[in-house]
Amino acid sequence: MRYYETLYIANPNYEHDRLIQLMENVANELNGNKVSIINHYIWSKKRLAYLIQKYKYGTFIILHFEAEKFDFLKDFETYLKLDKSILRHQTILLDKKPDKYDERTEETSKDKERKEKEPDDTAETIESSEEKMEPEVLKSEEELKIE
Amino acid sequence: MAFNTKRKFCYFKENAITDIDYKDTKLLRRFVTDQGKIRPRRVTGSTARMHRKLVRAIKRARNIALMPYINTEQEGS
Repeated sequence: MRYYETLYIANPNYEHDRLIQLMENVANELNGNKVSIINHYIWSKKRLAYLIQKYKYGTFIILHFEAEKFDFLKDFETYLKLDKSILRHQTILLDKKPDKYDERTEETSKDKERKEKEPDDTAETIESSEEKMEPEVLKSEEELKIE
Repeated sequence: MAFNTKRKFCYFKENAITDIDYKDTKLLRRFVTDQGKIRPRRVTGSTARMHRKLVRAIKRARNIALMPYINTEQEGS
């Protein structure tokens, strides 16, 4: 068994429904080749490091799948290349089986990161330790007389 | 004569990282210059094995537009 990861960039102007339609089309292209899809989810919308087809942003979609043979990959790559709603794609071979994606765990890990970044608001305020200066003790009258 | 006594170390070995993910751009940005060039091994101190993995990850990230090939944006302008 071989495990693959395909990351493709979809048109940033697409709404959620249209993205899901696109993901279904890509998944259908894989079906029938003895391929089982492990993960297929929208990673995030990101700013691209350089312009692709004059687009500044792109929606990144991750697809993990396992396959016995790899002769279908050429056709699959051609499909991704010809689809106009996909700006760019990249398929790599993985060493290990990828973990199952879970939205809940992903959200919790993001929340944790945020919490770590935020500075503690409950930091103890340093109390002013200025001690009130005691008024100088006036010399007693007796001492003054002696002088 | 004042020599620099700061010892170089492999970042991946110190943090027990064996695999480098090309999607982790936060990590990869430590190993490129402001221009976007890959820092040499003699500067970063990473081992030969990890440097090969690092280079592959950076090139993959560049291909999918997660990292720039050359950074033309200048800071402060």
